[in-house]
Amino acid sequence: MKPFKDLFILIKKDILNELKTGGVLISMLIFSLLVVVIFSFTLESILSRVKELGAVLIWMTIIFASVIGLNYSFSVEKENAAIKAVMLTPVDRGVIYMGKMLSNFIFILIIELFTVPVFLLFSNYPLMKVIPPLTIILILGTAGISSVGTILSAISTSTKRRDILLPIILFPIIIPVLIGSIRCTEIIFLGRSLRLEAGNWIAMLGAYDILFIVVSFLIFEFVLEEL
Amino acid sequence: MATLKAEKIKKYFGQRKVLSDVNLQLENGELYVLFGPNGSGKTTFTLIISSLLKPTEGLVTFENKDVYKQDASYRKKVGLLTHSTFLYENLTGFENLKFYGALYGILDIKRRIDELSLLFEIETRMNESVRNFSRGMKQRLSIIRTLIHNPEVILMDEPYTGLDEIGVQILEGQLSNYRKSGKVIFMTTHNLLRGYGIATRIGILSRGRILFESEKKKIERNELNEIYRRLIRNETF
Amino acid sequence: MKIFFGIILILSLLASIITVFLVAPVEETMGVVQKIFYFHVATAWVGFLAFFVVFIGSIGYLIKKSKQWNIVAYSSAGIGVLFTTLCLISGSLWAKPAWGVWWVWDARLISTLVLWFMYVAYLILRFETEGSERSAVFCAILGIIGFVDIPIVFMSVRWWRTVHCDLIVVERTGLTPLMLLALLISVFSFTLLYFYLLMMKYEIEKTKDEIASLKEKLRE
Repeated sequence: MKPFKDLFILIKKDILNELKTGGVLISMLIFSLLVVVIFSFTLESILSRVKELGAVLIWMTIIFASVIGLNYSFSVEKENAAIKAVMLTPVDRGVIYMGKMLSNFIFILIIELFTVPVFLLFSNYPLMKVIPPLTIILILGTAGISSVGTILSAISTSTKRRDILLPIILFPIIIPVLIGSIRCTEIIFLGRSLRLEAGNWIAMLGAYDILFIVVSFLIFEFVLEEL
Repeated sequence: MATLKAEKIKKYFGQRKVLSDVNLQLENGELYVLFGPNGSGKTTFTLIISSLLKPTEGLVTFENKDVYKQDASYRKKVGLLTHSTFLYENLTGFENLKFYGALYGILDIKRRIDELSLLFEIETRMNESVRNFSRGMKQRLSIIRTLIHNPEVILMDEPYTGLDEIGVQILEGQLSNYRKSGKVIFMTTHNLLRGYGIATRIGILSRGRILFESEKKKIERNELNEIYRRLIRNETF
Repeated sequence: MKIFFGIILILSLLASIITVFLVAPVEETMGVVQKIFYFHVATAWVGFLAFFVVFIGSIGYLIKKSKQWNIVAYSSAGIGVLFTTLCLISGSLWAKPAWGVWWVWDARLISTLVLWFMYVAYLILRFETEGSERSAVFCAILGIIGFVDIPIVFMSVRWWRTVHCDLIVVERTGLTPLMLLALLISVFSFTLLYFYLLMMKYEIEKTKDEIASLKEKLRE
């Protein structure tokens, strides 16, 4: 029970911290809305002909916005070395990882909550049909980004060129998540059944999430010691 | 029968040797003050005995148990203060303490926060964002954070930094009380005068080695000054 | 010992050149250019092998915390990126006469390209954290995560291609026994080359490390 209590405390702290500045969440939101708008109007005619393209745009936007949020998530911990004090409490080091991972997951999901409907509205996809299956994919994909994004941003935060380093080390790793999420989103946008056509993709996304959450959970303490 | 023991501590950062063969034993009811110039390794040593940093070689034990092997039980009993404030700037003083208190599993955290913030005279500012605190207030808040879970071992690296005269007096009063109630207290400082004043035992660290150690009652303040100056000057050349 | 290894290496490289150019038959459709294939496959194999060694070195370092493991890991990364680059270039040189294009978005090529980016990410991370304690730990983390990811990347890219591709890439045409022989010898000799280079790089890095620690001791 204690790990779950600690998890809750850690996530609550991150949310509270974000509410108090709102800085990063708002920036991520405005950024992704901007990208969606620019994509939508420049590709308007193409989009209406090629329904699948929307999948690519959505996920590219999400990836870029995520990098902003991920970069921030550890800078607040390093500002006054608060993470060290957290390490000194009885909290399990793996739980510290899960806390950050879930906080990042929640923040990115919030961004998607706003950006995706806006995009759907611009592109005239049938909202009611699309939203339920899309939510599942957003959750699976975001979990994947957050799982490795959390541990890699902990690493990049400790370097000088942290803002550009994170995309460099993150993007190759999340290619499967990107591909899987885009493919599933395509299927949804084409109005086809996820259950029938995307079984293997969803399995892969799920496996990726579990695999990297477990791997990161196990090796995170090595990163913590070096922060 | 030493409560907190550091044996043959060596620490390398990459190729650089920061601590070479440091040994220390602390008992309940002691207030050990370690003096040393900048770069002598005081902070590194403090971090090592807190269990936050692992030594390259050597052992740290608390009540005869290796502090690195004791899952979290040592961490529950140790409080650490360093140059970094360990605070979240966006949160209020109260929220910061509530967060750490919760992680330490303190029941009735509000009462504890009120009690300590009153003691250190910052109770009126507790609902303000830490970002608006002065350096001295941050230091006081940080000290409270160190003590929030009533640790048995109190480790403080340069606690006087940023404190005004009143803050210093409150701190020293508290440390004295804690010492009398049997806690283990370890402190580092540049300030020979104040450090000597509250210590029960003193040591001098230079270039990663403890060069001198003594019970406070066996040495006069000016003798300490003399020895310190001599040792440090020798080491510099 | 080293000289012995060196001799074996030279002999096997010679054997490789001989079998590729003299023993293996010239392929009908593409002619002599097809022979790049033997070296291309060998470099691809070494590229992935080297990353596996980075993976092992990374795990070894995290468990044992002794510098040797880390030296093996980043030495292998340096060599691996070289072979992967050669693989991509030789692949391109082969693709043009074979398919008429410099590049195709085929699953294997994409995976190799991703591998290349992972190497580069590893090396850039090492460069950015150079000299500090963290360097080894952080690179080890990246090495582990990267390697575990490679099979998933390959799988997902392959699935993607079966859905989206219009251009079916020419699959390997059947290999005659002699061609197979040339291929195996090439792969073998490049593997030897890799280990030889790894050994040399390891020794250079280890010496650099020892010099640095001697310098530090002098300073005391």
